Amino acid sequence: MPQLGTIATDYAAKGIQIIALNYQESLSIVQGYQDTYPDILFLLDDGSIYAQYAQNNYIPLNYVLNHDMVQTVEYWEEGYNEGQVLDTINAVRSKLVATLVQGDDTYALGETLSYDVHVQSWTLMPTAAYVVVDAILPTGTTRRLGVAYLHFTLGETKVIPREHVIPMNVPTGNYRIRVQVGLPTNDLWSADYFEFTATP
Amino acid sequence: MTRRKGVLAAVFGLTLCLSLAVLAGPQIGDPAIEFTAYDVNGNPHSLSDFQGKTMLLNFWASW
Repeated sequence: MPQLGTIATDYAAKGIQIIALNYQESLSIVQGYQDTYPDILFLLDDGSIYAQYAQNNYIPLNYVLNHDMVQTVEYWEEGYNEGQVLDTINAVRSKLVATLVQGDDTYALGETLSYDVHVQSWTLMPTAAYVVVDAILPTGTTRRLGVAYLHFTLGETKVIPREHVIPMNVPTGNYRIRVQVGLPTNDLWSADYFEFTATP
Repeated sequence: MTRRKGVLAAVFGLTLCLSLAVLAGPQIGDPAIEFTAYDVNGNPHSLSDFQGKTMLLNFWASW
């Protein structure tokens, strides 16, 4: 884990998600690792997830997954070869990375929801893509909040401030705001989301 | 001779099947297997929540 810890901050800044699945480990120990390495998401595995991913029953086991819709396996290895892992990540990672910067955690109906959409280019080539923002309602229904086709020059970052008045007639509960960047219909390059609670 | 080749082919096929059975996890080019697990604060996280992100999944234990 210290090996992963050294790359975690750098890769989190590039929009790469590192998840550590701790196999049959106590909560207190995992909590300690989470405190030490905040850029890694630590999850508890009773063994049922490892059982689906195990190759030859060897730990540690690492997978690199693509940013596409089905999260394609690009690489796996038993043990940890940092060079191979980083080479794979650099080869497959998205040209554009989207992140959402959330306002508040809770809004009352009728209040104005505000957040920023950040899209950063990680390629040396000019590129363009659709940026789509959706709200997923507590009912599971998806409502489109905006679409833009944006061009990016070398290493450019665009920040798009967004505001929406939450209608009085929508359900209260947990909402998810999601941004997706890519090309129609299923070429997903990057995505991010945040959640908030709508109250009466 | 032909019968002997047939037996060898059968043994080879059986060995290959057993080898593939050991390789149970997803292979390169396969879609990842969906799961849900809990973080240290008790919040659930599903793999599909991270669609659109290049990911490194690290199965490990400190013991």
